[in-house]
Amino acid sequence: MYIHNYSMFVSPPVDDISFYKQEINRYTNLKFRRANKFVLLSLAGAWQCAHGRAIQPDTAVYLTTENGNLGDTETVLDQIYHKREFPMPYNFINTMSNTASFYVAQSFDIVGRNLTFSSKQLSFERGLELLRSDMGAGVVKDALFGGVDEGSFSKSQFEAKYERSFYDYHMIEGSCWLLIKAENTGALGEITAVESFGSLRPTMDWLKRQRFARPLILSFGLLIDDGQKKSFGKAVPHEAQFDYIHSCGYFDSATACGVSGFFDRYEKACLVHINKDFRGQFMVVAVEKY
Amino acid sequence: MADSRIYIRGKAVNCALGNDVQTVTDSMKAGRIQVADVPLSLIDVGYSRPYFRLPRNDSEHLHNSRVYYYNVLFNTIEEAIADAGLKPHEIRELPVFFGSTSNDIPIYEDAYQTSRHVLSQTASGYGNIANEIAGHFDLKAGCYTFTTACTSSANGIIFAAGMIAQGFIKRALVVGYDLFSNLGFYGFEALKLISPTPCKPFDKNREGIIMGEGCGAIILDSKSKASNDFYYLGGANICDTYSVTTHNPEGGLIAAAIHEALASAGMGPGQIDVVKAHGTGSYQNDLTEGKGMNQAFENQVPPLTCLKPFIGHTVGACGVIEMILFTEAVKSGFVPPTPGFKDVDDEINIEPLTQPLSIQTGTFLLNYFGFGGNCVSLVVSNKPDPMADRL
Repeated sequence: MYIHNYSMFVSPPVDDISFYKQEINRYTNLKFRRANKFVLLSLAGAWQCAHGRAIQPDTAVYLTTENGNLGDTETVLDQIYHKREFPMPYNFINTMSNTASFYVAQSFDIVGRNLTFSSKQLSFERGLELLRSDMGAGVVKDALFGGVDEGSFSKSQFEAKYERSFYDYHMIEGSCWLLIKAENTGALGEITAVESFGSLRPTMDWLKRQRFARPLILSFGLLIDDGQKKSFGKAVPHEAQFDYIHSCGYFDSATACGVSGFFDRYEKACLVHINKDFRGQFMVVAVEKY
Repeated sequence: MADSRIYIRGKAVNCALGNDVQTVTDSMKAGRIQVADVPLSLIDVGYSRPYFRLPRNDSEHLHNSRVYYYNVLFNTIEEAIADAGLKPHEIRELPVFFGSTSNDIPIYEDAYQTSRHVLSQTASGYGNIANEIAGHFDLKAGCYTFTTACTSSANGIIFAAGMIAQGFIKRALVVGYDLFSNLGFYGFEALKLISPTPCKPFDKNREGIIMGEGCGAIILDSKSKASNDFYYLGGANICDTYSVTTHNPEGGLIAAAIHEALASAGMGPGQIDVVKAHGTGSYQNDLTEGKGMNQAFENQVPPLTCLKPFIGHTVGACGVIEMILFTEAVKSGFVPPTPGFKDVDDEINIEPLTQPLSIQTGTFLLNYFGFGGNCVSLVVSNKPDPMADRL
């Protein structure tokens, strides 16, 4: 899986959707009149990623997200339960988060596989597993692959969910995409590993057996605690750690930001990103930038 | 038995026809259909709409929607695992492929009677339900959640089968689940899509869809359990970018999805014995699906049936649920007719079965389409040699 371009559209949460429309208008004159914030956020990152690249008609879209479109779902439930009226049709349609992956496909006029996908705390990594399977079978050659989430956390919600101090993190929202192809000509880099483990020990054992390209940059997902970071650091000799969560901010698809941020910041290096979910499942993604 | 096929090794279903496979199959055979009348009482409109409800104790549901939600889900999965006859270590290694449109919104809706912003303050994300499944059954493999509207669990089948075929996993639990939600019920009524009269797909006097709730679970495995187990031959997912709510009226992308599914199965149109249409009964779906099928089969569409008049449109769950209903009916020796169909719509020229079709083995096309342009077609078979001539 070769990476041909990347985008990193992140910002503090913004209520005015014209902010996202302005970003999209940097790349296309298409108008998205009925699109909501989640759709526009998705489009902004996807168009930034596709900028200057030829997008083939059979390109697939994999939109990974933890929370999808919460805004219109709240609006529709408010219309039904509190205003006691039928929901507005486009509010209702936008409660289905795959409208975002649809609008990405429609805006590029691409008819390949189209997926909105989630896996708690590991949406980006599990999505890559699906893409790897599709590319291995030859059913997908090119894909726009994104991690998109609105910044929706309150202090109490964040701290209840993650058992971490809200004030230790800068909350953002983001739409970070990769243009991934089976073809390596013209690639900026490649995804060299997507591995899943049921616990810490086999993760560590696998990492110790690998010979990653150098220099090696280590990065970690939100749920990897300090002790585990130290253990992984010892197990995997590395030149630097890339703390993208503190340098860019946190949103629930932050792993996508970590990979794009690595491409933005480093040259001729290898990123090994280690993440974990609430079940204690670990995933490792290794990416090389040429 | 072990070969390169991907078998439906275990299954369980809970829908308006009943909560076990035998009852559901018997009900289809007997044409027993039970549809409830649900008033739109949250809005003062003074009318009701039909809905295919699960048999349930409503008072229990009202007092604890979370318990009810997970009881239906876990009971169905437990039966599917038992039906597959998996060993304990095989169960622990099961990855979860979960597809739904409403996800866990039914759990949160009750709180909106008195509160606002409940979802955004407390929801745990789309992936939470699959995690709950893994936790309940002590499953140690990955969780994959598909949210592609009405094709959600059909996509779960495609991607689970793909990962088995590629050797990344040995077997998979695929679940389609949508419970009644006011968001969906009032939302589809707002779109003027719900029929006040019985659902009759492809009929020229069709008036729309009738929604339903249900849960289906299958175990896909490279090993079969019984000699007549169905196996997955191929599938396709493509995006029709015509409109977020409807497919291209000419049906070209629907035909492309069918062609791609057949090609991935190594089949030609002439090798399909029966089609299970998506067949929602809405004007646009039936028009575009009918035109797409006529293109794909060059105006010689095989015998065709629709299952939504039996159980309603179970939205994201219909991928798994309708696969179970269809394949179990065939294993029992019949393809059910499409209840309510009477008059051919000349604009579409599709005529579903009006009488049961006797058949015990065959190769079949299953269609699923949804909002967001998602077009999914699957090919399944229980023939010993699917390349043999049509029955």
